[in-house]
Amino acid sequence: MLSKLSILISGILFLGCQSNNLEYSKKEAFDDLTQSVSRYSASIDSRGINWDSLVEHYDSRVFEDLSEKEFFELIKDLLLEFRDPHVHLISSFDTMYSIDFLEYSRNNDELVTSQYISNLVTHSATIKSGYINDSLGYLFCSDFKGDLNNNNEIYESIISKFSETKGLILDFRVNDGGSVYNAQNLLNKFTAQTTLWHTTQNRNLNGFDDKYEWYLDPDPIIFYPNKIVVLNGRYTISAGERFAIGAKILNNIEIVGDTTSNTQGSVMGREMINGWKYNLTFEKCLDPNGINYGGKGIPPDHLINSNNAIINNQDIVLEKAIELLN
Amino acid sequence: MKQYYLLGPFLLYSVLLLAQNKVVPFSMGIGVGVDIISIKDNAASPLNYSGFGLPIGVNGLKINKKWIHHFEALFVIPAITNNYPLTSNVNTQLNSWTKVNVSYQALRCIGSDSLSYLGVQLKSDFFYREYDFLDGMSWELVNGLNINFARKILLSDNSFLLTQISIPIVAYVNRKSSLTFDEIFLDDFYNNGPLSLFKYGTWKLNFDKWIAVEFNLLFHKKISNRLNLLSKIGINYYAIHFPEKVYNLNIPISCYLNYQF
Repeated sequence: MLSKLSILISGILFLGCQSNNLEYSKKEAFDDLTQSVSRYSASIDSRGINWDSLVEHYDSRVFEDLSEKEFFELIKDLLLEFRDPHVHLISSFDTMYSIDFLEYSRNNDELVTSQYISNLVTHSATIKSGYINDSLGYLFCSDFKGDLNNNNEIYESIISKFSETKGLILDFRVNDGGSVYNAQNLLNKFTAQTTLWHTTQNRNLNGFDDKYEWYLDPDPIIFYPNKIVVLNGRYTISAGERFAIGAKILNNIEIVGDTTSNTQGSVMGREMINGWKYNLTFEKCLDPNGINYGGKGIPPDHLINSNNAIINNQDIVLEKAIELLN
Repeated sequence: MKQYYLLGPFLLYSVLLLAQNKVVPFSMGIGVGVDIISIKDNAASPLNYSGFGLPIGVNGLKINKKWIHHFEALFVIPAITNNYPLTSNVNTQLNSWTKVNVSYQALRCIGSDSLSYLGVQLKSDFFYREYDFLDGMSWELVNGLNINFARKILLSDNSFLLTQISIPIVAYVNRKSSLTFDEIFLDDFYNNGPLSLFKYGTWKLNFDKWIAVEFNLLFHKKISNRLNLLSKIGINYYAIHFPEKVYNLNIPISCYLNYQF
C-alpha cells in the first residue's frame, strides 16, 4: 500500500515540476492578446482606434511559421497603433517602448539649465531644488515615484525654503510619472481651497466603473501663495500629466513648454501566452470639465515647440518662465 | 466448507467491533509536507502556473466512539518556509506567493457499521500571488462551510485510512471584483495592509460562480504509547468565475508526528 502511494506521489511531483517546451500557437497568442486588450484597455475609444478593424488587419498577417522576431514586430506594430507611452512590449530578446516611436523631442538639457541655477541641492535621486537670480525658486522632479511620506517631507522643506521667493518654477519636462498621490501632495501646497482636480474610471468587463473624484485640498502645514510656472514637454508623462491638469485649474499656475505626452490613466501589465509582457492603460482620466486628454496631452498656456526649446546654449522654456515671473 | 461460512460473519463482527472501539485520544503535532499547485488566473495572466511549496503545519486529532475531530493548518509563507517559483510552460515565473490552509472538521459516524461518517468542515483557504513583472497581484481567500462524507478503512489494530470527500456549501469568497489595481486600491492596501482586502469579499453558494471539491485520504498509525503518525494526501480543486476565471488544482501532502495527551 505504502509503496503504491509513494509511486503515486513521485508521479505527481514529476508532473508538478516538469518544464515544457516553449512551443505555442501564434494564432492563439494573437487572439489572447487582442481579446485582453479589448477587455482591459481604457484607450480604444478615447484614441479613436477602430480596434476590430485593426485586429482583422493584423490577424491576416499572423502565420504559425513566422519567426519569433517577425511575430514580435507584428505585435509591436499592433500595439504602437495606440501611440500610448504606457504601452510596452517585452520579450526575452527584444523590447518596445512606445515613447521611442512617437517622434517626440525632449525640450530640456540639464547642462544648459544648470547654468541658470544657483545653490542646487539634490534631495533625492529625482528631486533637486535651487534658486534663479536669488529671487525665484526652482524645483526639478524627474518623476513622482517613491515613498509618499518621504517625498512629502521633501516637498515641504523645499516650499518652506522658497517662502520668501517671488515665484516658483517647477521643471517637469522629463517627469515620467509615478504615484498620483505624490503629484497631489505637491499640488495641495499651491491651493487655498478644496478644488475638484479630475476624475478617473477603471476599465471593467462591462465598460467602466463609477467615476472616482480626485480633489486638491489645502496642505495643512504649508501654502505657497505666489505665482508658479510649470515647465512641461512631451516627456511629461502619466502622473506628470495629471499634475498638469491640476496646474490648469489653479489660477496661480501657468504652464510653459510643449504639450505633455498623451497618457494620464494608470497602467497595468499583462503577459501573452508565449510569456511576452505588455502594458496598457486601464484607467480613463477626465479633467473637471470632462475633457479626456488621453491620446492628445495637456497643452501649455505658453507654447514653445520642443524643437525650439534649447537654442545656442539657452534654455528658451526656462527663460520664458523667468520672464513670466518677473 | 461450512466452517468458512461461519468465519465470514465472525470476521465482519470483529471488524465492526474493532471499528466501534477504535478510540484515538486527543493528539496534536507538527509536520511538513509538499503542496503541489497548478493555478490559472485569467484576471492576471492567461498562463497556467504550476510548482510546489514545502509547507509546515500543525494538526490535532481526536476520535471517540461517535465522533472524529480534526484540525489542520498548513502554511507556505516565503519568510518561514521554502516555496519555489511557480513556473509556466513558457518558463515565466511567479517568485513570490503565499498559501495558508486552515480547517476544522467534526464528523459523526452514521449507519450501522460505524465506519462511515458525515459532518461539517470549517475552512479558510488563502492563496496570494505576486505577478511582480506585471506590477500586479492576485489572491483568493475562501472562508467556507463544507459537508464532508468519510469512510474509515481499518488496516490493522494500530492503523487506519480515512477516505473523505468534501463539498463546500457556502463561503465568503474574497477576491477583488475588478480586473485592475488602481491607485486608490493600492493606496488603501499599502496604508491599511491586508485587512483592506476584506472589503472585496462576497458570500457565495457552491456552483454560483464558485465551484470547489476536495478529496482527502488520511492515514493514521499508532507508533508508540504516546506518538502517532498521521499523513494526509488530498486533491483540491476550485474555480472562481469573477471578475475573470481562476482555476486552482492542489495536491497537498502532509505528514505529522502527533503527541497523544
